[in-house]
Amino acid sequence: MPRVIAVANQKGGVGKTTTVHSLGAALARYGVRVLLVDLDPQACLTYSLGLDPESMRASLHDVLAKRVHADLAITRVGDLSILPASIDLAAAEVQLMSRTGREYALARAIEPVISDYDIVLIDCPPSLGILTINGLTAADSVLIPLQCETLSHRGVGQLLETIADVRAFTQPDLEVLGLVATMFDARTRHGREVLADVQIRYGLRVFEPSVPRSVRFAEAPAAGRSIIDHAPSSVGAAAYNEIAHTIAVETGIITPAPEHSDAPDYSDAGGVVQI
Amino acid sequence: MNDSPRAPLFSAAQRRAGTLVVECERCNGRVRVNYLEFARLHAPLWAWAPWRLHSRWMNCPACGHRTWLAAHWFD
Ligand SMILES: Nc1ncnc2c1ncn2[C@@H]1O[C@H](COP(=O)(O)OP(=O)(O)OP(=O)(O)O)[C@@H](O)[C@H]1O
Ligand SMILES: [Mg+2]
Repeated sequence: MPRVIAVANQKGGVGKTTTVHSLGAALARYGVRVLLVDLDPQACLTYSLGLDPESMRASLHDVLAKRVHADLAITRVGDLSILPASIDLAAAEVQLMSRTGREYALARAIEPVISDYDIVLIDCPPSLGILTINGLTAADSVLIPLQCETLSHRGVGQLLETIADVRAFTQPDLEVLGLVATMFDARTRHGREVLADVQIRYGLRVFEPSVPRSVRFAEAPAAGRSIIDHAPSSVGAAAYNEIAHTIAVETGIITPAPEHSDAPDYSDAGGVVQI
Repeated sequence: MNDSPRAPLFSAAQRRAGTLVVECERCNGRVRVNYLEFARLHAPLWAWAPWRLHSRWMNCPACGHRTWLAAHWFD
């Protein structure tokens, strides 16, 4: 079964879209079959992949409205596949509200295609509406990007309450994978303190390493590329590569390469390793 | 259970006259349907196995599959 991960935080501009794109690109480099789902009517993810959200032949809105099959709307960009958004996705929010089973529209729409992928990453909008509920209901886990500023913890608290509601009403098995600290400035004590506070307050895991603030991230979407392709040797790319590797290994998508292939082989030492 | 400020987003959370909640054995989905929709979900053929927890073989409004559902009349 593919893993479906929703990347969510009700707070805007914390790096959700950047995290989805960068992790997707990093995972694809490990040979993982990745589907990105742009669930935000702003269509930033679609745009960051170099696509024009206004000239797509079909978008997630058409899929949710049952006008086209998900397969027909999915577009391939390099080694990534994306179910793109368009501005009319905002209308879907209204249309869905009156539909029976509205919380399950996304889960149902992608179900026929997800077996073609190893992992599905959903970019949630920065609001708590029916689209976000659809994203969380379709997912089996949530990854929370966190910009370590004063009051950041409030957004996380609200999201965790929403996740509790989703578990109660629509997706009992939804897990929280953990936090990714984005735009992190390790030089300031404040950032470290906020991160430690959120970690302790909510008992959440923080993925290592934190993603540093870098101008490289702002340049990449304009070039229609992820940081992984735009600045592969940057610290930001390295951070997302490492987080992607951790997620892929822990979810069983890839098997870890032996860490030290030149380490001595003790396999015939009868289980006793002499130092 | 329904005092969450987000309850209006979840159909199953809001009790309404003339509706019931169906729960799917296959996808765990819980969806509120009105009596007419409930009747339609049985078409074209349905089965009833009262000894099962999910006793009705019918269409699931969450996953869209024909499978076993439980009807919660008082939720
Ligand atoms: N590590 C980083 N360093 C510097 N800038 C970054 C970093 N990560 C993201 N950004 C920039 O911050 C801005 C917001 O990022 P992004 O769009 O990923 O956030 P978001 O949470 O998806 O926003 P929204 O809530 O509007 O959907 C973008 O301009 C992006 O290029
Ligand atoms: Mg975004």
